[in-house]
Amino acid sequence: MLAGCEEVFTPDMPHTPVLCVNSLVSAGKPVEVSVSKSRLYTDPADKSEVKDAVVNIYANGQLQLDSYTPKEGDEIRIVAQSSTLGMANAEVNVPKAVPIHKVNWETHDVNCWQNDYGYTVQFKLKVQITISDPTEENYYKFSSKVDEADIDDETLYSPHPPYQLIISELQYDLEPIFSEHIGVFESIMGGDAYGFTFFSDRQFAGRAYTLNLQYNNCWFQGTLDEMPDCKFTLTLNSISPSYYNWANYVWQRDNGTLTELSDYGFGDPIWGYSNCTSGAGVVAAQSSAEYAINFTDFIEETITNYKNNNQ
Amino acid sequence: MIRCLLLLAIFCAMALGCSAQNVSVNANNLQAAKVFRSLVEQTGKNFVYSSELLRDMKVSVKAKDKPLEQVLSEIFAGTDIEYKIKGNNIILKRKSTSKGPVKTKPRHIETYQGRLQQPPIKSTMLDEVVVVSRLEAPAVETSEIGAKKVTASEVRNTPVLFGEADVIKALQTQPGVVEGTEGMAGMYVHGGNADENLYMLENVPLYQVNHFAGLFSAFNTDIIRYIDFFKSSIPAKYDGRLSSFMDVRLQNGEREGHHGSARLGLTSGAFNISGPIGKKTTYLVGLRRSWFDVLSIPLVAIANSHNEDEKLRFNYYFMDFNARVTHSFNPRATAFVNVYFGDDKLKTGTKDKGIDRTDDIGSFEDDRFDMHWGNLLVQAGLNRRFNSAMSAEFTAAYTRFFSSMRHDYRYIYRMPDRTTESHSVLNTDNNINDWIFRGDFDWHANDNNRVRLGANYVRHSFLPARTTRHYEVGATQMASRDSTWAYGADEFNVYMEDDWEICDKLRMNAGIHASLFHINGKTNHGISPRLSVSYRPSENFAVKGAYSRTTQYVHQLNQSYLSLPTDQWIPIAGKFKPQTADKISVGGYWQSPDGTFAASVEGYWKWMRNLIDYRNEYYLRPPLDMWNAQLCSGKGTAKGIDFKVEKVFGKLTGHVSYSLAWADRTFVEKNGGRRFPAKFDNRHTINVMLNWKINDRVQLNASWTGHSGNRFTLLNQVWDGPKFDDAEWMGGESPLRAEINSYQLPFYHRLDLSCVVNNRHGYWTFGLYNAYCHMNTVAVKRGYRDVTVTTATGVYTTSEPVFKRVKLLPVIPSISYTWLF
Repeated sequence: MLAGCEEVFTPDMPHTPVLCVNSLVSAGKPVEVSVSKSRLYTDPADKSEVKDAVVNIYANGQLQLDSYTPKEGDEIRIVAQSSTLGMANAEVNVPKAVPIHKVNWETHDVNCWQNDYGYTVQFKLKVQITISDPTEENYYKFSSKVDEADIDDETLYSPHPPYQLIISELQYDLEPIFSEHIGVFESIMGGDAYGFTFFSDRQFAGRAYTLNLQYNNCWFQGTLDEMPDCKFTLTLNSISPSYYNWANYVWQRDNGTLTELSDYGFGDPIWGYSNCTSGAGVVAAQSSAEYAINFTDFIEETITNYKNNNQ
Repeated sequence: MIRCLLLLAIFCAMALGCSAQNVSVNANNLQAAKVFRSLVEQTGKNFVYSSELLRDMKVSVKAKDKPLEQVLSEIFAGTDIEYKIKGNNIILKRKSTSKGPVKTKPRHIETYQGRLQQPPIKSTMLDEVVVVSRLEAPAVETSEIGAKKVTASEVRNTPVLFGEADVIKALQTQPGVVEGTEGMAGMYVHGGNADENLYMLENVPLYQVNHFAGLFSAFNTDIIRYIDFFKSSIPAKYDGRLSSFMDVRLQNGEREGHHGSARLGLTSGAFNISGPIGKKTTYLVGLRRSWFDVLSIPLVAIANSHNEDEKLRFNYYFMDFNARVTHSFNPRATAFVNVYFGDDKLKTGTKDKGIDRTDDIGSFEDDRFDMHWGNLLVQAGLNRRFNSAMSAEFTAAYTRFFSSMRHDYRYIYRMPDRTTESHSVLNTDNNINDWIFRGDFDWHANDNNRVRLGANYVRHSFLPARTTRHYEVGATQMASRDSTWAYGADEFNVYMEDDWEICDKLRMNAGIHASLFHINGKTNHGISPRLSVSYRPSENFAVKGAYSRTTQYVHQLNQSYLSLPTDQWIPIAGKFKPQTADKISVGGYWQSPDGTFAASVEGYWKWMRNLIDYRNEYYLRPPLDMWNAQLCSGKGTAKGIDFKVEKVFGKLTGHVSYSLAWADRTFVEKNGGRRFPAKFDNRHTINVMLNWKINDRVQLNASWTGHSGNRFTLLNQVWDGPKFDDAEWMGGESPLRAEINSYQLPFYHRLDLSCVVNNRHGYWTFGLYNAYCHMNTVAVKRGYRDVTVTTATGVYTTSEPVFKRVKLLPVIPSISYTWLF
């Protein structure tokens, strides 16, 4: 009796579809642009297709050909035009990559044992990455991956691959900068930084900042005979404000409190972030700096020590 | 605090040096009620009498510096009315007679200094005392527009949600006042925002006036004497908000014996007591506290008993505490101390039981959330009558709004050979502290001029929202704090106004309020002129016109229409200018010759400048960013007409009002710079309020409200967002921006009923919120519904996107009992 209710209805409100332009411009890579259109919320997704759009890319004011490859510092403008939907355009500057100034890493809680498939080395990894932030406003995204260039998929995903390196379970909550977008109210309502590695330089503008990263689930499995190059690549992307805003918006949409408040009339609804003139779509840009950690010596040493201790 | 005490001591010394005081009245054939209002002002006492008793009575009395009892005796000499002063009440009733019903004839009774003309009254039994402490002057007699003096009984007789008598919800029935979100104690006056109302307790601002996200307001109605409410022509005394001013006045303590009440309701209970301390001092203590925490204890215990792994925590309560001590040094000087403390406290979270069992293997969490917010007010004051013409009130006060939110998270990973532990604490504090020193003077310069003037100084200290984070993993500790800092600000105000009765038909109130607000080395100033003129061509009819300017230096940021601990009070700083509003209003007023009926029509036009609101997509700025980076500045207009018909006396009283209104906003950085309707731009609003006193035991109250639906930003289109990253959470469809508040929700209407049944020891109150259970739409959301699809391969269930009307509150009954002692 005290519960509220919801009633399905069709609002009597006009809607005019607009062009939607999405693109992530990466320095050194060809530009890909996706064009679609907005649709009524209740319409099926295929109503977003656009078949008559023409896209032009301008860099530093000049119309570019298909062969254009953006570089750091380029001012890019993407213009999409449709005879039925009109025009939409968005501008973005390709940010300059900020080099990873310094990396310290250490392993702890190291365990090693032997089994039927060789040796297993289990450890935790602590990495400190120091960034020297340029003076202008900057936004970043951090990512990392194990270098798997020399391992084909068939080998990697076989039941008993000859070797395997896993670096996972990054503790997002342990680096405060990954949580800077989370207010305490969102935190109380259950929002956390899991999976979110975007951040701004608001708290360290023009100064150095050290990211403290903790990976809790790291292990190597293999033998010394087939020891590969065990590289772990850290990537620091300098990203455009539009990329940061889009990521932040998605977090707020899915984890923030504003959406729920507006659903019950207690707040204003929030709409998707867009830097396109039509209000739909995001044109973003990024440049990357990388640093590779090579675990080969550490793993070899650990296994050797284990063998020596157990002979 | 020491400065306060010193100041108070000086005031007290001034008071003690004064001679004895009496009341002064100079009335020539004036309505008795008007004379009594003058006595009420001078003595602080209430007049209690039957509604029929003084109808059409005229009084002529001239007394200067005479004891109250003597003046009353002079007024009633030769009439069949007797008075009795009991505590803070002056009770009037017809003299009892052994010959049965009193039969009176027209007569003119001359006294030494007073004369009471009593019209013919039909044969009537002596009434039981009906409390009609009607302090409010009829609108035709004043120059004010949009002013309302609400008595405690009017508040109690307004049926509301959960039966919790509520000051703000009582005001929501007034024309020009919009409730906002259903069920909430919100107040949007003449197209203004919620933070444009100045709520005061004994003339001292309160910043937090709501409990439980806004379902209840913070005023304990059991100890309220009356509420002054101004929304159009604003007395020069008040400034600092754009839309309205509400001053809650508390009862004085009982002088004869210790009396009070205890109330038990569904959601809260209250206990109030007052009485004398010696001959010259009285006290009043009131406590209201919610039951939610008590009610939740068994529910939480049951939930925990069925879960072996996890322990649930939940504890919520709100509380209001009032205390007032009044001391009369002599009839000319009275000192008082007020204390108010109201807070909400919520503790919730979950805890894995294994976290304390050291033998358990695995990962365990302990998640705690604490929120605590409220308002503290401490006030010391002195009422001082210098002579028959001049009186003053000196006040030193401290008011503090505070809000604290804390998230404490502990994680343990316990294996046979090792244990890893991490601990994080996220904390946000937000508060405002005001030290206030003020002096207000009231000077009856002559029979036709009443001058009010005063000055005050306020030292503000703001902490908009400071967030700190602390992490601890094993031996590693990290801490960060945002860049928010506390702001100090100095505010100085002076004002003067003259209420001038130019002639019998013409009355004018002219005043000015000047203010300075100094913050961060920058001084803002405001000049707020006020003018209202009343022309009364006949005894029962008046027309009025008014102009007022108001200036606001502090404002509240709300992410929602609820009252949440995330709401922040912040000062005007940086690029932002003080908010101002210019308002012109006109009105026509009529009352029936016997004062039983009154009708009014008031029109207004308001221009608001430098309004502050969140930018579009402000939520993309991280909380650690400077708060003013999330804001933008704009303007707004509001206009409308309020109609009201009121029945003031009799067994059936109440009013019917209708408002036709428009309210909009224009912000360069919102809605593409285009003008958009305000959220609560309710074009038509109708309120019907009826109180029917069936007999001495039973009273029925009904309140019906209907208004055009609230405005809503309906995002009816979506677009497919980019998935720039491999992360699963990126991408997805996103709503397309739309014109702000362009969609109007359906017409809103609701009937609330209450019934008060008196017995020997107190009274029962039965309530029915939304009596005919009309589920009003409060929002529109995008959602999904399940659909069954039949294909050649079979029948399966899928979901399809739909729009849904969200409806919250059905019929809600309530009951409470108040024990009087």
